[in-house]
Amino acid sequence: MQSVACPTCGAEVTFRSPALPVRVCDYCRTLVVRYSQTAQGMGTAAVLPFDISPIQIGTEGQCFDQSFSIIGRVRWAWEDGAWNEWLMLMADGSHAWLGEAMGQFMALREVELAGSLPQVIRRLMNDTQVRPGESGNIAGHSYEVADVRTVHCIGCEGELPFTAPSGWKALSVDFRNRDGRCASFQKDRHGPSLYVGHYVTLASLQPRNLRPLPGWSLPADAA
Amino acid sequence: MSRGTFLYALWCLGVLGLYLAAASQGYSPFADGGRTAGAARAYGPTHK
Amino acid sequence: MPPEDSSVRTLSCPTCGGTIAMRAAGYTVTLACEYCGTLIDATNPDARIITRYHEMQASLDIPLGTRGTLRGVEWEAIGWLQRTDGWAAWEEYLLFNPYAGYRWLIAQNGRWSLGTMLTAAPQRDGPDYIVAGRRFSPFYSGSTARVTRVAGEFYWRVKVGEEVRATDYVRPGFMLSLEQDDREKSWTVSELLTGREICAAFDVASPPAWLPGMTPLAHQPSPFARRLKEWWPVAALSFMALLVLLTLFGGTMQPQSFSLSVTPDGPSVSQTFGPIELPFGRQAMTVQAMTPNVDQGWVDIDISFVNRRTQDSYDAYALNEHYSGQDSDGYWSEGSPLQTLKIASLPAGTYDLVVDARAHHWGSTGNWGWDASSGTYKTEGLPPVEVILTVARGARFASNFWLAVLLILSPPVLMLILHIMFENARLAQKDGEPADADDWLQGMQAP
Repeated sequence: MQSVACPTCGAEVTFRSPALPVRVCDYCRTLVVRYSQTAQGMGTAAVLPFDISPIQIGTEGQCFDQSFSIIGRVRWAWEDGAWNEWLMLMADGSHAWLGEAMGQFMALREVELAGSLPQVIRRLMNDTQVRPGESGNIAGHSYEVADVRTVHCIGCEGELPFTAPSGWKALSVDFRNRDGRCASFQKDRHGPSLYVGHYVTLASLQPRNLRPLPGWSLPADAA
Repeated sequence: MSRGTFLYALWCLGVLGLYLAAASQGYSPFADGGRTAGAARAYGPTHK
Repeated sequence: MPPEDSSVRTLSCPTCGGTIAMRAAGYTVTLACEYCGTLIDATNPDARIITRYHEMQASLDIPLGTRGTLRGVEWEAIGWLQRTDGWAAWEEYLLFNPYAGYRWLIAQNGRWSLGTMLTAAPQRDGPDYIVAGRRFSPFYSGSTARVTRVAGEFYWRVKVGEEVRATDYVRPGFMLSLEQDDREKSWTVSELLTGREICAAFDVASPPAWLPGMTPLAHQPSPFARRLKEWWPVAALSFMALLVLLTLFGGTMQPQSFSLSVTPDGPSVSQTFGPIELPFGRQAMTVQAMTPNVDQGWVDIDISFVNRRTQDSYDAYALNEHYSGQDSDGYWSEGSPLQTLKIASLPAGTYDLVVDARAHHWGSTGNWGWDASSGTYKTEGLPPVEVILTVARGARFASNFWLAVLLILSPPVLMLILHIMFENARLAQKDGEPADADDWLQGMQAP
C-alpha cells in the first residue's frame, strides 16, 4: 500500500494495488496518476450520478477461485443505457473486472491480443464493421457477437489501470456463448483490448460488505 | 398427501365398509330373489 | 439533489405533472408515467420526453411500488407491460431487487408465472431444449408479441408497438421462451406460481380453478394428473382389500338337496321341503336348481322360502331348458339345465322351501294326443323331468363386487376424463406438429 498527497487538494490518496497507476481522489475527484515517487493530477473525474448498484468500493468476495476486493469503477453509457465496470483486485495482486448491467454480472479478465486470433476479432481490430450474430472462437470457446455499441465514459472512482476521463469514447463489442461464458472487446484511441470471462450471480460471489441501500435489506447470506 | 387424495381414500374406505356390511347381511341389490313385495304368501292350513 | 436516505428518486412527469418514482436508478433507461403513459428518457439528466401520451391511468392488479416476497427474495414491482400476440393478451410486471436483479411476473388468465432471464443459451436436443436438466418441448412457434401499454420503469428503450418474435417451449409448470428482434436474442424460463405463493407475495385474486370449456395456459400442469397419480395406489389397495373381502365372505355351507319330478305338459307340481334352519342374523341363500334330464323342453321353477313363524316369503324363479337338434351345420344345442339362484337377506328362523314346478315340451318328438279338457294337443308318454334343488346357506354376490369396483374406480375415471379434456384443451393451442404421445406423456409429469 502506498499513500501520496493529492496534487490538487493535498488529501491523502491511498493506492491499495501495487501496480495500478491511477486513483481518483475521494475528496476533489482529481485523477491522480502515480509515477515511481511522485504523483500528478490528470484532470477531474465527473461526479457519478446516483445508481442503485449493490456493489461499492470495498465489497469483497470470491471469484476466479480466489478472493477479491473492489477498488475502482468506471461507468459507461451508450445511447440506450449505462452500466458499471467494477475493478476487482485479486488476492494474487492481479486485477479483473466485474461488469454489472441490467441486474446481471459478468466476471472478466483481460487476455492478450496475440497469437492466433479469430477472424471476427481481427476485423474489429481493423475497424471493419461486425454485426450481432457473427461467431468466432476465442480462447478455445465459440462465441457469438451479442451487440456492438459506441460507448462513452461518464465517470469513474477509486483505483484504475488507466485514466478514464468523462466523454472518453470507445467501441464496445459483447460476445456470449451457450455455456454462460462471455467476452468483451473494446477499442479506443489507445488501441484494442479483449476481456474473457463468464456470467456470475451476486450470491455466487459470496459477497461481503455490499453497499447498504435504504429501504432494502441485504441478502441474508451477505450481511 | 393432499386433501383430495385423503377424501378419495375415505370414499374407498366407505365403499369397502358398505361392501362388508352387505356381505355380512347377505344383501345385494341385484339378488335373484328376496322378500316378496306386498302381502306375505301363506301356505298350509289356516284352520283354527 | 435527491435525499441520500432513500433509494427512490422522484421526478415530475413533463406532460401531466404527476410524481414519477424511479426505483432502479442507474439501470432504468425508460420511464413510463403511470398516470398518462408518457415515455421519458431516464438516461438524460433533463428527463427528455420520448413520446407524449394522454392516457387514462391503467388500473393494475399490483400497483407499481408494491413489494412482495417470492422464493425468499423481496421484490418490488417497478414496471408493467401489456402485450398481445394477436390471439391472447397478457401482462408482465418487472420485479426488481438491487441485490438480486430483475425478474418478470407474467399474468395471463388470472394465473401468474415468475420469469428469469437466462445468461446462457439452453442446450438443444432434437426439437426440445434442456435447461438445468429440465426438458422443454416445442409449443408456440413464431408468434409476434407486441407491447400495447406500458407503465413504470424499464432497463431498455421500451415503447408501445415494440415487437419481438417469440417461440415457446413448455413442460408442466414451466415455459421456456425465446424472444428475438434484429438486435438480440433472449431466453427466459418462467415458472407457474401456485395461487398460494402469488397471493402470499402480492395481494392479487386467486387463480380460478380450471373448468371444462376454459383454455389452460400452455405450461399449466393438469390438476388432475397429480390426483390420478396419487389416487391409483389407493384404488389398487382398495381393489386388493375388496378381493380379500370377496374370498372371506360369501362361502356357502350346509347344503341340503331336495328333488321332485314333473311330467312334461303335465300339471304343475307343488311341494314343500324343510325344515331349513337359519341360525343367526340375516343371510343369503344359494339355490342350485338342476334338471339333468330336461330335453327339448323347459321347466319353470318357482321357489319360496317361507318363514314358519312369520309366514314371510322370499321368492325366486328359475327357468331351466335344453333344446338340441341337427341341421345343415350338424348338431346344435342350447339352453342350460342348471340355474343358480341367490336370495338376499333372510332373517334367522326356520324355513320351508316351497317349490312350484311345471315342465313343458317343445317340438315334434313324442306322441301327441288330444286333450279335450283343455282343447290342445299334448305330448304323451314322455319320462318325467327330475328337478334337484340344492339349498345352501350363504351366497357370493358378484354384483356386489362389481358395484364396489365401479364405485372405487369412478372417481379416478372421472379424473382421467377431466385430465384428457384439460390436456386436449391445452394441446389444441400447440403450433406446428399436432400433439403426439410424448406431449401426452409429458402432461402427466409433475411440475
